Order: sequence, then C-alpha cells, then structure tokens
Amino acid sequence: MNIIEARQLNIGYGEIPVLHGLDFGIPEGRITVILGKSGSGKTTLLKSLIGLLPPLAGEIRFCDTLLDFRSEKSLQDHYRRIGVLYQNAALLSSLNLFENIALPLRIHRTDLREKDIREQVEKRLAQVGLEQSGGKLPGELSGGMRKRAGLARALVQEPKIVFCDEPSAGLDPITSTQLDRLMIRLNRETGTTLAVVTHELRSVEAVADRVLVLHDGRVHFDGEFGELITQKDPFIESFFLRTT
Amino acid sequence: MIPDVTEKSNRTGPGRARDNKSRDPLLSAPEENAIIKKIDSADRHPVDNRLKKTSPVKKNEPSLLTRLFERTAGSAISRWGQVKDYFVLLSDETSHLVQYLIKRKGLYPGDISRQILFMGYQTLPILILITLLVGITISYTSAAQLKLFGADIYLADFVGIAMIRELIPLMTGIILAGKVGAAVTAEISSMKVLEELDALKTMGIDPVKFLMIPRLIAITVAVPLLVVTANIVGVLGGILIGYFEFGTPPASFVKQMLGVLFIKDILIELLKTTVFGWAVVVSAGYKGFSASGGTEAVGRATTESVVLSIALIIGLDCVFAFFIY
Ligand SMILES: Nc1ncnc2c1ncn2[C@@H]1O[C@H](COP(=O)(O)OP(=O)(O)OP(=O)(O)O)[C@@H](O)[C@H]1O
Ligand SMILES: [Mg+2]
Repeated sequence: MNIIEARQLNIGYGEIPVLHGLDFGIPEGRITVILGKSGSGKTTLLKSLIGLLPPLAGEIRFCDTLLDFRSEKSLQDHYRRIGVLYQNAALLSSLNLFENIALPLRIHRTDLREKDIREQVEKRLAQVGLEQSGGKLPGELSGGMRKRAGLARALVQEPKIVFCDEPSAGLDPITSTQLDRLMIRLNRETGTTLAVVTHELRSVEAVADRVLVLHDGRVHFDGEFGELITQKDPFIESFFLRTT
Repeated sequence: MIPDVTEKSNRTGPGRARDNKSRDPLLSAPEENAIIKKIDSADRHPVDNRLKKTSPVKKNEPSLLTRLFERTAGSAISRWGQVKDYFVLLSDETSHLVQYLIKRKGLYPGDISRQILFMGYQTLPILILITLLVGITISYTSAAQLKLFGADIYLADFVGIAMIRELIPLMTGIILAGKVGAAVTAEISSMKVLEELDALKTMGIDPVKFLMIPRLIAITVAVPLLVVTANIVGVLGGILIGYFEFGTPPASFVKQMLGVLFIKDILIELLKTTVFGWAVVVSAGYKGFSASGGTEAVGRATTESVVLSIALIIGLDCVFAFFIY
C-alpha cells in the first residue's frame, strides 16, 4: 500500500519543469530514500510532496485522496498528516527548543492543558536525546542538535509520514550515524513512513528500504535497495563507485 | 589603531593614483598617452567595420523608441504586479485580523504583548528625544520671526498646530519606519531565507497570520501611546522656548495653544499616525515575505522596506492634507 502516489508529475519553477513525467509510489511504513546528483531536483520534488510547490502537471495522491493545491482545506489536511525536517532544521530562532517543539501544539491543540503539552514535548525531546537542552535557543545549539530538534518538532503532531531533506548534510560521521539510527528506530517502533533525501551513500545503506533515483529530470530507478546495488546501470554504478 | 589606518591608506594610495592617471589622460605621462591612443584607434576600426557589415541585420532590430517603450511597459507591468501583491497581502492581513478578533485563535501566546513592548515602549526613548529636539528647534526658529512682529504669544498657536497636525505624525511614522519597519522586514525576510516560513506552513500555521496579526495589533495599540507622549514632549519644547525667549508663563502658553487646537485635531492626529503605523508594518511585511535569495536578500529587503515606508508615509500625509484641511 502506497501512502503517496505520484502520477505524471511535472515539477518546476515558473514554466520550465525541472522534473518530468514522474510516476512513483512511496510505500507506507517503510523508509524510502531519494537519491540524485546535486541539482537533480530532490529538494524540488520534496517541496511538491509536502505541499509547498504546486506541480506544473500531474497529480499527487496522499492516502488515496488527491492533494489539491488550490484548496486551502486540502493543503491544511495534508500538513496535519506530515512532518518535515528541513535541510537547516528551520527552527524559529526567536523561540527556545522547548517552545519550538511545543509550537504546533500551542497553535492547533488549544484543548491541551499546559501540563499535557509539557509532557508531550518532553517525550519528544527525550526521543531525540535532547532532554537537557529544552531551554536553549537554536542559535546556541550545534548543527546536529538542531537537526535532532527539527526531527522532534516534525514528530510532535504524530504524522503519518516524515520527510527529511538531507538530514546528514554537514554533520560528522558519528552524529550522522546517530541521526540514521534515530530514523530507523522511529520507523521500526512507531511505523512512521519516512522519505529521506540524501547524498550520503553510507546513510543510504543504513536506512533505505526503498530507493528512488532521480537523473536527467526523470525517475531513473525505483525499487528495493537490494535491487539497486545489483543494477548493471552505468549511472548507478558511477554513483556507488565513488565510495566503494 | 589610528596610525594603522593611515598606513593602510598610504599603502593603497599610489595604486589608486595610478588607476586615476590611466583614466585621465591629462595626468598621465606622454608615452602612456600614446599607448592609450593606439589602443583606442585599434579598438575603433574593427567595431566600425563590423557595424557596416551587420547593418542590414540591425534594421530588423527594434528601434530605440520601441525598446524604450517595451522597457517602460515591462517595468510598469511589474510595478503593477507589485502593487497588486501589496494589496493582496493587505486584504489577507485584514481578513486574518477580523477572523482573529472573532475567534481569538491561532497566535503564539504572549506574542502580541511582546510586540507592543517592542513597538511602543522600546520606541519611546528615541521618539522623546527627537520630538523634544524638533519642538525646540521649530519654536526657536519661528520665535525669531515672531519677535519681529511682536507676536510673541502666537508661538503657542504655531507650535501647537505645526506639531500636532503635522510634525508629530510624520516624525512618529518615520521613526517607526526606521525602527519597527526595519526590524520586522529583517526578521521576516531572514525567516524566509532560512526556510522558517516554509516550516510554519507545513506545520499548518499561516505565516501571514502568525507573524503579521500580532504586529498589526501591536502597532495599533502602540501608536496612541507614542502620540500622546510625543505631544507632551513636543509641546514641552515650545513651552521651554516660549519661557526662556519671551518669558511666556507655561500656563498661558498652554491656554493659548488650546485656543486653536480642538479635540478633532488630536483625533485626526491619532488616525493619521495609526495609518502611518499600518503602512510601516504592512510594507515591512510585504518586503519581508517577498524577499528571495540568500542572506544578502535580507539586507536588500530591509533597505527597501524603510524607503517604501517613508515614501508611503509622505504620500499618505499629502493625501490627508488635501482631504482634511
Ligand atoms: N527557487 C528556484 N527557482 C528556480 N529554479 C530553482 C529554484 N530552486 C531550485 N531551482 C533549480 O531546480 C533544479 C533542482 O534544484 P534542487 O534544489 O531541487 O536540487 P537538489 O537535487 O536538491 O540539489 P542539492 O543536492 O544540491 O540540494 C536546479 O537546477 C536549480 O537550479
Ligand atoms: Mg536540495
């Protein structure tokens, strides 16, 4: 069962498509990695899937309902069911970590009492190993801590799917491995679907159940991770050659 | 530190001078002149030849007039697009504001009071300083003229009318543009550049509502506070000059001033300044939300926001002058 289905998607800025005729699915409860060279349109694809960039043509289905970019209600429904970890975490710099994570609850869950909010936020902070840092401002955190906090914020509304844009970019191998483990644990323990954009092959090997490779504005490969590494395709081989 | 700086400028001095020389033939040596002439003539010939060869093609190119027209039309269309965007944002904000006032939901708790503190309380010191100085300055300059006619007591009338009807709204607006407008644009545009606005959206939070409503409410609350303070301080400047230049007792100064000012003037002053405050905040938001690019976009947007706010304030002031007085 696919949580997201893309049909004949053209995505781009202005009139010029960056990606053409994409047909793919993101299976529920698994980790799908989106791979591609720099500039291949990974972030662009993600922007469409999370409901920020209307596709030029084609359709995106989420849980079998069409995502209608012209309908505010459809978008809001979509946003309620997704979580996004942005490339630079995109925490609000004026709020401390605790408040950053509490923000979606404070806005949408006005029925919750302060005690419940505190409980939920602390649970999320503990989940990403930041229980000591709730009082700190994002500016006082390291890049890795910010990303973990971003992940905690993405999780606080209990989304069905979490999108991560290059979670390990700019992190040292140890921190990036930590983040990979965190994603795997999240997936295995709560069954949350993940769609992860990444460059790092080590990270792909660690987390990927399924892989989507973008190349030349198209889906170049869409399949299980096991199939990918046995592919006799020059582009994919060149991609893997660099690190192996 | 200072010798260091002069040393540096000395070091760069000769280089700069040489640059100037090569651009200015009068200053350069004769042989350099000759070289420049050679380069000039060598440059011109091929260009002339090429012009001759390509002249038939040139005929098909749009004439200067057409191109000028195209460019003007193009920039007019893009300006019109911007004006439209501005009003779309304004109407969006107004509808969010009305919705918020009805439902009281969807804002970060405490945000409004924090903004009031920033826009009101933290703007007071600079506003007090400037209105006091302007009050003193215009009283002092006009006192000299009034003395010539022995019309001392009319200083009060003049100060009252000039300050309350015109200068205080204008100055408050401009100070708000520089302090509040710049801060709002810098904050919003950097949030845009750092994807924080995208993050808000995908959390189901409308950035326009979340960021602009507290600021619009805050400016509406802060303006009366600022205007009342500015009135007192600005008039105080007049009273001081009246007292020390003409020996007018403060009580008679105030009495004389109240003879020409009506409650209507104060209400119009408040309305005008509130409109200016809105213009500042809406323009700041507009420039912040439409920023795009890297971090340099933040600086650009902030400058543009202040310029736009001040231009709007002066334009609106002109409109008020026509319709009210
Ligand atoms: N805002 C934009 N406006 C116009 N074109 C854009 C914009 N953002 C990206 N592009 C173009 O879209 C293409 C894909 O960009 P995208 O950011 O999706 O690549 P990416 O795969 O995420 O690269 P990276 O791995 O470097 O992050 C690029 O050619 C880029 O120039
Ligand atoms: Mg990217």
